Formats: sequence, C-alpha cells, structure tokens
Amino acid sequence: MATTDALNHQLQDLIRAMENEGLLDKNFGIVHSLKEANSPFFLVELIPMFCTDVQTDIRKLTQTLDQPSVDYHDLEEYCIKIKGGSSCIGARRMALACVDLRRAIDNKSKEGCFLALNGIKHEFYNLRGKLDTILQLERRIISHDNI
Amino acid sequence: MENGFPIPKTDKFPAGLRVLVVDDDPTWLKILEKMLRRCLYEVTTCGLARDALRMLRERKDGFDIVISDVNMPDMDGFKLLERVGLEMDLPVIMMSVDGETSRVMKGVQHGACDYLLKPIRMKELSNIWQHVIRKKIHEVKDTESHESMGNIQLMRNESDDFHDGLLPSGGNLGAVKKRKDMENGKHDEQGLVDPSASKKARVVWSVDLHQKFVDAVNQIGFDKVGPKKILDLMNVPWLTREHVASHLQKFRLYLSRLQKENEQKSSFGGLKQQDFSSGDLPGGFGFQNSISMDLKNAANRNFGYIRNEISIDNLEPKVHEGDMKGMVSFLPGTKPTSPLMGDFPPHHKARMSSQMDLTHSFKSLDQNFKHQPLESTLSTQKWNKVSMMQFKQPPNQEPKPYPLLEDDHSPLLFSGPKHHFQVDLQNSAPSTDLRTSLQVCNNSSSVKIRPLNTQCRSNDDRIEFPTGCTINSIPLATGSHIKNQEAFETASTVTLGVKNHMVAENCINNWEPVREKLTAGEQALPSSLEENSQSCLLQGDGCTEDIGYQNVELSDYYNPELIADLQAQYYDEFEFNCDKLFDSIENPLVDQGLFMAYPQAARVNFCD
Repeated sequence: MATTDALNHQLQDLIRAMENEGLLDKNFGIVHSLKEANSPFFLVELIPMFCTDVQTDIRKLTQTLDQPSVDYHDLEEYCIKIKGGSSCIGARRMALACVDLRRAIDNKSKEGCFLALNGIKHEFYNLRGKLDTILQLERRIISHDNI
Repeated sequence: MENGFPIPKTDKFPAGLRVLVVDDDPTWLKILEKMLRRCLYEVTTCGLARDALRMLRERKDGFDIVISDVNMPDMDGFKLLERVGLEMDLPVIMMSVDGETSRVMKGVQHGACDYLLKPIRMKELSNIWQHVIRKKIHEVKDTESHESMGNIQLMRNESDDFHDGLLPSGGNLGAVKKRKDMENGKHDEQGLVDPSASKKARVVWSVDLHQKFVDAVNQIGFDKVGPKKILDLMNVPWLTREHVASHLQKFRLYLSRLQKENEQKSSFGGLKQQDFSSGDLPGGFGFQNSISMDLKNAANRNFGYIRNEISIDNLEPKVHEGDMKGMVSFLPGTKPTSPLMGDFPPHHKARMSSQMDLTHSFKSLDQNFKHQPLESTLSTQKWNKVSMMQFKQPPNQEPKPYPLLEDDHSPLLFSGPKHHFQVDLQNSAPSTDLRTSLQVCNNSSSVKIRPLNTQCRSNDDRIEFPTGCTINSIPLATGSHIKNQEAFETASTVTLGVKNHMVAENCINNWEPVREKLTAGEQALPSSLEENSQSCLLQGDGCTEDIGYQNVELSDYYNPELIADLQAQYYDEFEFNCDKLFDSIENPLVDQGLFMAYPQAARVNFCD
C-alpha cells in the first residue's frame, strides 16, 4: 500500500513535471499549499470547479463565434474569464492561449479567433487529463491521511 | 476588529479585518477566501455585484474593505466601485486578470485604492489593511481641517513643497505627502492621536436628516458653508462635525454628478457624454443650458449614488439667485497649463487628463450664455470631484485633438483650439479664490477659473488657468461656465471650488484624500502605470475643491498673489496640451463630489 509520503512524492513529481512542461506555473503550488488540515478537500474541490467553469466558457465562446455576426465584446468577456480561471490555478499554457485569443479579438479576426479557440481547447484537454491524475492522487492522499 | 480607529489599538490588528470579496469566478472566490483567511481576516464572499451591494447596505458597518473583480456579469466592477465609495465610503480594491494600463487607470480614476493583478499573491492580500487605515486617517484629517482657514495656508505652503517635491520625480510624492501629513498633523493632531476622537461612526443620512443639512447649507450660503456652521444650524445633537464634513463632501460630489447628468441632457456640440468616462463635462454651454439647473430636478432624481435619497431642492433657489455663475470662458489660445491640481504631483510623471468635455464645450464658448447659478455650482461640483482627475502631462504643447479616453471611453476630442477657461477671481481673498480649480484643459487650453467669491468680481482678476487635466469630472469649468472671455466680461465664474471659503476648505479636505490617493495610487500601480504617467487620483470625496488650486497656471493678468497660490509652476511641464485629457476617465464620483457651488459661493461674476 502506498504510503502517504509516497503518494505525496508522486504528486510533487507530477506537478513538477507539469511545471517543466509549462503546463503549470508556480501558482498551482501556491493554491495547493492553501490546503489545510481543516480543509483537506480544498484542491479536490477546486480542480473540478475550474474544469467545469472553463468548459462552460469554452462552449459559450464557441457558440458566440458560430454566430453569423460575432460579438467581439462577448468574446472578450469569456476570454477574460477563462484567462482568470487559468491564472488562478496556474494553468500557464492555457493563459497564454487566451492571450492569443485576445489578440485575435482585438484584431477582430474571426479566423484568428477560431484558431486561438482551438488552441485553448487543446491546452485545456491536455491539462484536464493531468489534473485528473493530480485529483486522484490527492484523493488518495487525503484518504490515507484520514486513516 | 479595530474598526474606526485610524491607529490600531491591539496587537491583533490587522487580524479580523472584515473583507468582502466579490468575484463572479467561483474558483477565484474560493482561493481568495482561503488566502484571506490565512491572513486572519474575516472573509465574506459574493458572486454577484448586486448581492454585494445588498450585503453592504444591510450591514452598513459590517465591512472594512471590499475587494472586487473588474469583470462581472451583472454589473461593471467600476460601477460597483463607485457605488461602494459613495454609499458606504469603504476602500475598494479592484482585481483583474487584465493589467492593461487603461484598465488600471480606470480603476484609479474611479477611486479604487488599489488594483491587483490576478493571479494574486498572498503578500498583496496581507497588506490590504493599510488602505483601511489610510482612509480613516484621511477622513479624520479632512474633517478636522474642514473649517480651518489655516489649512488653506497650509495647503499653499504644502503646495510649494509639493511643487519642489513633485517636479523632480514622482517618487517624492510620498515624501511630500508625508510632509503634508505631518503638517496637517499639527493641526489635526488630536484627530489622529486620539482614537475616540477619530472614530467616526457611520451616520445614516436619512432623507430628513439630509433635508436639514441642505436647509442649513442654503441658509448659510455656499460660500460660507462649513461643517461647523451646518452642524450648528442643523441642531441635531448626536451629529458631529465630522459627519457633516464628510457628508458635505459627498454631497458636492453628488451635485456635480447631477450636473453632469444634466449636461448630458443638453446637447452639446460634439460633446460626448458618457458616464464620466469621456469627461462628461459638457462644454460649457451645454452646461448652462442644461444645467440650469436643474438642480432641483437633479435633486429630485433618484441617484443611486446618493446614499439616501437626498433632495437638493433647497439648493436650487439659492443657486438661481444668479450670483453664481460659474463661468468658464474658454479662450482660444494655447496656453500650456499645468494641471489644476496643484497638489498633485504634477511632475512629469503625472498624467493630466484634461477634460475633454471642456473642449467640446469650448466650441460653444463663443456664445454667450447666461449661466444659471446652479450650473456653475454644478460644474464646480463636478470639478471638485476630481476624484477622477487624472493628470497627464501633456507631452508637448501643440494642441492637437486627441481622444481623451483610452480604449473604450469615448474620448473627448479636443480640437485644436485651445481654450481658455476663464475664471474670474473674485476679489475677495484672492488666495482662496485660487482654489477654484478648474481645470480642464484640453490640449492647450487654459482654463481661467474664477473663484467664486461671493462678490462680483472684477474683470481684472482673471486668472487664467491652464487647465492641464481635468478629470472627467471636471465639470468644473466645463460645462456651465464656459464663456468666451471676450464676450463676457463678467462671466460667471466657475464656481469651481472657487468659493473662497469653501474652496479653501474643500480644497483642504479634498486634498487629503487626493493626496492619499495619489500616494496610494502611486504605490498601488507602480507597474501598471506607464513610466511617464502617473495618474493622480483624486478620490471623489476628497478632491473637490482642491482641484481648483492645482493646475492653475496663472496667466499674465491677474492677481499675482493668486498666481503664487496656484501652484502653477507645477504644471509647467504639463502644459495644457495634455494629450489625453482623460484616459478613460469615468468619473462618476466626480459628479458627486462637486457640490456645486454653493449658491453663493458660486458667485460667478456675471458679465454685466
């Protein structure tokens, strides 16, 4: 049975690897450290929250882009939201992808927006997979701690 | 929780600081809550601006500071900021993932104490208590200095200091400020040192109470109004001078806002009025017509800002007495003017934004219009509000049209002509007259501001103030009182803060917060501000009259004494050519701040 330490170790390794890849930045570590003894589920709750929100925003973005006449203002709003969420959890590549989208929005280029949106989606799905792993590890650690 | 004490009494402080966090992103809410709890603050979170306002209203004294995101679905973060500042007078920190200078500037202009960029670090959060303390200190200082003429002197002196301190570099602002603080401290020592004295319980200004307030103001006369006098007249035993003083400030802001709204109604040639952002000041003309105030109407309007629906009815009659006429005559002619805000560090780093509106109004300047006293009052009011004043140093003196506002604000385009705002200084107390600050200058326009002193002014006392920058709200001058200098001899003077007496007081009062803001702004937005621009934020409540002082660039003719008073020197660099009069100025606060002219105060010199 893996001990808590081993699990923690694994988790740290994973996080570090993601940081090296550029998927995550230091913020994730900070958020992770916010977990406290009295609220062990902090990260466990946060990650799904983040994922759900981003997914909704991506969907709305897609819908807006699909409109015959694109409302760039709305696009910008969603973009900011996604960027905000990404920055909060330290999702670096996603935040960068948002910057691209923002640029495309500023240029009012529908093409550019599509491309950027795809970039965001790509980064998100990539990240989500890894976040799921983190989540599982985290859950195991917590359950171990509680034993 | 130390609430209301400028100086923390216990070791526990800042633990227990009551923070309200508003953000539509639940992930962020969670994180911020965690972080703030780690700082030992008491946190309440809220996902909607509406709910936040409701909570704040329900528990008037329930929070010490508000942290809000800029982008929210139901209400613009800046609007929320405005509301909170007006109704509850709490320090508000803005946050956003977007750190563009223009956005930050907007926040600063709207009166935010700070602007944090997401992702937010713990250390940034752990320091937010300083805003609470600072605000309280300044509130106390303001009220204490409200009625003291000596403060005017103080301000003047400090202006000099400031001048020296500011020009060299923005960094001195803090130093200068400290000097001022210390000097002020001499006057207001008591307030600062004695916690009980400085503690201000929040007063709920009911309609009745406010009515009494307004009656008192009218009775006394704007030019002579002071918190003590109002307090005496109101005859409300439990009310303190501080209460009245701060309410007076807000009232002024409110009036100026009303004025703005009135102006909005009037059609100005080319004036774009946007919620302050574009420098709502209607070009003087609009002002006059529209404002004519309908102070009464305005008063009757339901303004969200007003804490309790205040009816300004009483003001109107007085205002119309015709004595006041804020007149801002814009003279074409380029005149680099320094930002009016004298006390603002006009150093090159400052960014003055002139009120674009003025420009617009200028167009109509040439027409003669009679100003309603109210108008001037209003404009002055607005002006006072300077909370959003933004000073931007005009890079060069060439007048050129430039959008006042950056990004999404509809810029007031100043057309080439320079306008002079002519403010006639009232004869009396020239020094105080100077206080009328009027600034607004669109590129290379000088604003002459005439301090309204009750008396009629003499034409000779015109002081030309180059209006460096006026913050949107500088309704001051704008709007109502634009007057073609040539055309009018006795133009109504812009009451902008001129009101000697009041002005002085106001200035002083306002100065503090402004200064505070400046400092705060400086500290807060070091990275966001452009290298060469520093926005001086005048907090709405604070900056009313002060604005007048600053920025005045004394022109050739007029009382040298006035000139001396005006820290015109400051603005050498700022010449009027502020390129950007405002950067997205939205000065909702300004409206409110400027209490327009006290009807008498705005004794505008009318051109006979």
